[in-house]
Amino acid sequence: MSMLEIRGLNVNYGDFHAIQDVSMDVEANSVVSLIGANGAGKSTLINAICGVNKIRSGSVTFLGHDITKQKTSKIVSLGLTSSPEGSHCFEKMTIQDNLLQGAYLCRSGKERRKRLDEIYELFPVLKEKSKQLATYLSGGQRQMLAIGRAMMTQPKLLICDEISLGLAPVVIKDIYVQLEKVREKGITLVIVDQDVNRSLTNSDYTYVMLEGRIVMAGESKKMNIDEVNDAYFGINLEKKEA
Amino acid sequence: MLQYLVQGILLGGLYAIIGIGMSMVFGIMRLTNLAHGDLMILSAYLALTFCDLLGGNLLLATLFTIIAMVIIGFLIQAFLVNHVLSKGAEPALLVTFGISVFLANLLHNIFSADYQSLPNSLTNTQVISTDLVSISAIYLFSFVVAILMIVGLHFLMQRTNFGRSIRATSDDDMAAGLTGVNTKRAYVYAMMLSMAVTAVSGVLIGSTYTFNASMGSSYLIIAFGVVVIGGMGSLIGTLLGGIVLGVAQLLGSYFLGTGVQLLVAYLVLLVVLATRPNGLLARATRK
Ligand SMILES: Nc1ncnc2c1ncn2[C@@H]1O[C@H](COP(=O)(O)OP(=O)(O)O)[C@@H](O)[C@H]1O
Ligand SMILES: [Mg+2]
Repeated sequence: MSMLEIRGLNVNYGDFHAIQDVSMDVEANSVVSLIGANGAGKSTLINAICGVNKIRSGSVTFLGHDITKQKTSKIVSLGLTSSPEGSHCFEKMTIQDNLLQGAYLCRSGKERRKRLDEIYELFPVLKEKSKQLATYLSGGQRQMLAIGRAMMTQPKLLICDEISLGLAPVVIKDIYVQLEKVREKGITLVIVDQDVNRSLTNSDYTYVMLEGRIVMAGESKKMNIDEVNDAYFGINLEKKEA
Repeated sequence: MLQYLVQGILLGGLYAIIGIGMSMVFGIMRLTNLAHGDLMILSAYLALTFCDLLGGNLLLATLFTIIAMVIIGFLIQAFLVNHVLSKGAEPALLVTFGISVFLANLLHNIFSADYQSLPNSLTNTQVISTDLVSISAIYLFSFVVAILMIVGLHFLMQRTNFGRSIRATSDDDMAAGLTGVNTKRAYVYAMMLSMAVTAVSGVLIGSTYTFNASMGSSYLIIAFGVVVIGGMGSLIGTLLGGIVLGVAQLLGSYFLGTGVQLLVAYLVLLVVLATRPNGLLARATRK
């Protein structure tokens, strides 16, 4: 059984059918890419998995637990969380408080400190700015803070939405180096990135979304970038229809 | 003059107490609780009732009042406000307005329009009484309680795991959920805490002044003034807001006579609003 199993998932925004019959598997200790053009439904899918968006039908199973209708807080306690699109840092809180909040479910202050030190080791820049408010961070630092905060929950599966959006190439490179370290800690990753090439080279498995559906899936190494690009933009489908 | 200044500052402590509960609810949920004054009057009546039942033990009655108000806070948030909070600020505002009208009428029906007061031995005691200044024990006591509550709440909000989770929920509830906070429950806890504070305010107000069922709205106005001057939602600002309002009122009374003292206080409120629309301390201590 996979770590995360999604079967026949449907999500609506009112009448708009945003996620259509999506099924997906994430194996433990793998890195999975989820790609697709703007508006394909990636964020909607992630938020549905995390209990932020309501699911109309279908099921989500995480480590054998049915989490389809669970509250986000419960899902997080099972070891699944996300670093959401746009970071969603706690703007009026310090960097340190943002991170400590990640360990909210941990009852021991000592353990929270220990986790904090680990994150500071991974992202030294956050330690330098630990007393500053999150609102004064740069885009790359905000992304690191969101990832660090998510890691403070000690997830088994971490979903990173729009990991590179609006960031300079050097910063993106940095973040991928850090993600590799996250993976070495035994955390399974699902990554959403706009860049197809980067997604394929940095993952074990790739899912391509188009207009609310999964239109292509496969081992990243074996995928043909041109075919993926076609699926990404829906070119294949148009050809078939013509 | 010195007498007026000292009294103004002490009165400010009482005003701060009136404002704290409202400030918390606003700071955490961005909700203007229009029932705040009536909830305070309700607390005063509860304390009066418990006091009668307990043979005049006001301290014990206060404890029971706090417990009762915490339960009421739970009911209000879990069954009324939480349901409408996701639909935006206006529906929630209307709910608090409904609670306000309901409470004022309920209290009027149960307790009639007669003026009541709580039997507090501090009320007519003077701590210092010289030619220059006299300080009444109840005002001094209220001032000390105000500072203790504000410091205590500040510590709770800034230094504890619980307080941090409330701040996080207030800042970004989706992100707070992703750290494992049950955000609806966090709002319930915040309201319960605010009601505990409101219970204490009600007892102190009821000990200092006479009260009746229709006085909620006048205390709401004072609370509003305190919260606005202090910077909506800032706890330390609440103390400052209370003192500014209290001193303005008493100095107004000294220079212009008792008839216009409240008018002067609200004039100061308007001036602050016009010059520092986010409150005096908004930037520095806003959560
Ligand atoms: N809150 C919302 N209400 C209504 N429609 C939404 C909402 N969020 C997203 N959508 C729509 O759902 C579709 C998928 O959006 P999204 O999941 O954000 O895509 P992606 O993350 O792949 O860019 C888009 O057509 C978008 O306009
Ligand atoms: Mg998105």
